Amino acid sequence: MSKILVKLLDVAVFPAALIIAGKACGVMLMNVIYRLSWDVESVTKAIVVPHIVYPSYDQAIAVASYSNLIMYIVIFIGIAYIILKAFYLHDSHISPQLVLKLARVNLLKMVQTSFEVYHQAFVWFAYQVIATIFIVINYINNITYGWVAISTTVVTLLTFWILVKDVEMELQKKHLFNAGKS
Amino acid sequence: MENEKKYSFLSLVGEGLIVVLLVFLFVMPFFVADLLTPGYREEYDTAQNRPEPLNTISEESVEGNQTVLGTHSFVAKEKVTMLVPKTLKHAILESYTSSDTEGHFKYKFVSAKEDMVLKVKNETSSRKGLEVLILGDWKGELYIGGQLYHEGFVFYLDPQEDVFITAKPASLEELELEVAVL
Repeated sequence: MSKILVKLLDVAVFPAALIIAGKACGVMLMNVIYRLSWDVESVTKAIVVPHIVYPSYDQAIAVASYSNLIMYIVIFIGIAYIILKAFYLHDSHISPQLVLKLARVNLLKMVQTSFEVYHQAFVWFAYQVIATIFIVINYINNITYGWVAISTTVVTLLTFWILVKDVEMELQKKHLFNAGKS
Repeated sequence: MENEKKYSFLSLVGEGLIVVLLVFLFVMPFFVADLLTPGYREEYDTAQNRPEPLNTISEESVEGNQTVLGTHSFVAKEKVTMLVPKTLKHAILESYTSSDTEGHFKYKFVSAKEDMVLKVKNETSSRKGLEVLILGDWKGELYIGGQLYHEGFVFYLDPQEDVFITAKPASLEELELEVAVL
């Protein structure tokens, strides 16, 4: 069975749970902070599903926007952690001084292989892209502020650029290594 | 040879299942996030969408410090009127019935932020007075003539005696009033 698929499945569960928690916390936080009154209505889409409703459009768009932002920030914290690991704790280009320091405090297990790092990065970045698309669709449907859609899109593009830089570094090291061998 | 074929087939099925599970993991959090994205009750959001009260003296008038939306004359012969403040955006008269001796009002509150002050202007003269009865389940605070409402509360007014009903809704609520000339 494909190792890659199993690994992807393994690392995709935790962020999925975090995204749901982030969105739910965002909605609850807004209700508590602004003391909003809300109600639950059953909406018939393909199936009958409960739906939170507010008395006015202003309240609904504020809750939707900030809860989307909190959900996105949760994903961004995850990918930022992966990027930090990719840059500083990646076995292909970790600095010898850092290896020494980690060895002294018995934390060498923090050093990760490309297999670990790139699977995690792929999953978190995929979630980040889907979240951005979700927010932009909400903006098109007039249920999220424009600045939330724009800022999340910009941050996603920046993340993509940083990930590409890390892959470039990895390929460069591999190229140098292969050149040295031959 | 046959065992090999069987193994590769099972492996393919397993990989297919993992792909399906992966797709589910990527889609599911955003499906839940979409469910958590709130909506609003459009019909209450703008003043234009409020239903026109029946039996209304349409001209706006000023009653003391209170600007009124309209005067609902629910007992025509006795000229008992219900005054609703114009400033209240999220309270609407949902239904209304009346006869010569009694009127039935159903108000819907859609904002916990605003208190609503209704004025029952009692212009009865030939009869004993007025009976004000609250119907339905009310979760917030409700004062009739300064007295806190409780279940089964009936308020009696002498002829020509006006009363203020102050409603502090706890959430999205309904207030049903039944007023009868004694």
